[in-house]
Amino acid sequence: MIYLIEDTINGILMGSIYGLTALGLTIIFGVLKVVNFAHGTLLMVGMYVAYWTVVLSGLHPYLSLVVVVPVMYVFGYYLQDIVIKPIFKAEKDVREPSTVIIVTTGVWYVLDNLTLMIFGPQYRSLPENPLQGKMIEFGELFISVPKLWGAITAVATAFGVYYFFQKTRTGRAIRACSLDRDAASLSGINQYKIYNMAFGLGSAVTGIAAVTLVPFYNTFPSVGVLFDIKGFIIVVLGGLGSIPGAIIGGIIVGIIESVGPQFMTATWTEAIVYGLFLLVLFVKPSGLFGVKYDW
Amino acid sequence: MTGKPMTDTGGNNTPYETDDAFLDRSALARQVVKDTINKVLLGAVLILVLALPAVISSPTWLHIIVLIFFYAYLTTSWNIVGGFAGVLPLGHAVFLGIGAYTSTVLSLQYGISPWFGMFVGGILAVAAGMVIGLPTLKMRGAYFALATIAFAEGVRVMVENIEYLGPFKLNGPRGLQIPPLNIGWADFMFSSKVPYYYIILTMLMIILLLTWAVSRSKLGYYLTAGGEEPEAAQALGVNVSRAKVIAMALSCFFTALAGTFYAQFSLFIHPKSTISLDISFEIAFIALIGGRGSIAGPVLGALLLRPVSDLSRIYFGDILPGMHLVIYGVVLILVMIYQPRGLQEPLTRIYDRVVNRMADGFIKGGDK
Repeated sequence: MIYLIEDTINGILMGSIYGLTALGLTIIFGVLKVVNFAHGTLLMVGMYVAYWTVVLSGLHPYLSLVVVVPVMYVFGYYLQDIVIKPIFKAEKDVREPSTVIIVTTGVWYVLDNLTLMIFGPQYRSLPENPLQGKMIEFGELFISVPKLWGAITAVATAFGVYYFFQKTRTGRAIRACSLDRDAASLSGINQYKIYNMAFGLGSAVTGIAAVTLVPFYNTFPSVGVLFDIKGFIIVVLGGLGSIPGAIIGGIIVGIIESVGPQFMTATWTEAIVYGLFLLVLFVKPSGLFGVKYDW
Repeated sequence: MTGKPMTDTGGNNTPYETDDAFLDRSALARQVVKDTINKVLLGAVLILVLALPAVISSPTWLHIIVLIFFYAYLTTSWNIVGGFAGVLPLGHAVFLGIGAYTSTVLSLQYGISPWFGMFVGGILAVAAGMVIGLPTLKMRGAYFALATIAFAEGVRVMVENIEYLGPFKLNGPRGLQIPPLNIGWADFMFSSKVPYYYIILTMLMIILLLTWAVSRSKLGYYLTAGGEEPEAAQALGVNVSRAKVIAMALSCFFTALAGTFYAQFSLFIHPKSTISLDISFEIAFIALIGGRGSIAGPVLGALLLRPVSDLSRIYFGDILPGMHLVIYGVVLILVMIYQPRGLQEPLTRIYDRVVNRMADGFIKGGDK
């Protein structure tokens, strides 16, 4: 029984970090209406930036946020500006340009394999890391400290992003653009700049997720693939484009993944996650927190 | 999307532009000459592909060409739903896997010829396609794409975990090995690559003729209309979802036939090679690079993209690991940025210009 509680708690913690990685994906989908297949790759880039910042400067892992967030914002901004914008311009009248899926997959292949060529295939974990392997004890319960901080960061980031979208002028402009790009353009919003900013914002949030992962997770070129499909499943579970949906969807997947192996083999747990995903799609395609008209 | 009519290269079906063309004798003559040139070129290509194994003796090259045709076939099957119906299925490898496993299990355990198992697999794939297609085909693009990915990945994970499905041995992640014992046409097994070449060539021609027929049928018009303006098509009384379901069924059936071919060609199947996301993605890439919704698009895409991945793997695979995927990714990005509708449109334009110039040349030559 104690293991079950421990697994549930760890599932919730890890699930909020999944939710944080999916949060970036959902921001990008919500505004651009495209599924960004390079999302796992963005996470991988963020992890490498965080890893090298910590190794070269000797900062506390969480302080690498100061470097990772701006770097990832600029990276996402220009990735969108240079690679994806031309396609939006060419397919202006298509609501969900499917060619973008191919382009983002191309970005995924290029970045993952360039990383492989530059840094090699080895797994890297932070040396002399103040957080690694740290546990809090509650009687018989053991809770991992970096996961706990990750979960707190995830919830804080979700509130921050929500506040940004609701209260700031830029946030409102982005929301206007996601509701109706043409009407937003007519009221003087530069839609392509908004797309760049949304992509940058999504990348920056993914960068925050990368920082929380680096202290207890290995960094390697194909690490993003592990979070890629999981990310899609989470955002559809929660409702594509929904901020609380991403976190809650992440927690659901996290709990299944961590409690499931108590009852069956780990690979069957994976099949259950896919099954649940399909079930939600069939019953409520807009997801738990999605809006009905958006599918 | 704009309501541009579908065009093909290599076909002899250049539309007669206006009724006036029939009155204008010189325009008519020009059209006849152009049709003749088209037919002659098509015949030349046909003779060339039929004679190819006689010219190429290297098994490696023959292997690469068989794979090009194989992917052209797969993508043409995909195109019936992915191209005409305007949705983006990204899990077609699951139907390939069903075809491969069905015929292999039937021939290994029950001694039933793969030629028969091929069609059993096709029917099972249609059933699986309905399970995923009926509830999801009406969804918006991204949802449908993600649903098909999740379905295919879910099936792969299940096959990896199942040793026995009822009485049928699937052998989990280790897959099934087909011992090359009964070589001959009856058992769909050959020691040389030449028969495989002719089989996949025949399959490719059949599926191309079928898509040609579909694109000119009522079903094809319903699909195009439903893919581009679903609401408008529905308002005109087109049953869009029914057309999509039929297209999905056709697509699943023919994809599964390719699965049997793959199993008999490679003599080894396992979940990661048949039901893999890589194959699902590659099919969609080929269609989009070539030009989805056109007949020639998948063939052009396979002709361009397969050699990029095969040759760059051969030449860079050992020296720079990962380099071949960087090249592949760069090709994808560049083609999509500069030709978001695929390479079929500009290539058709160039082809038409060449044929027009040739026709002008013939007509002027005749006048002298």
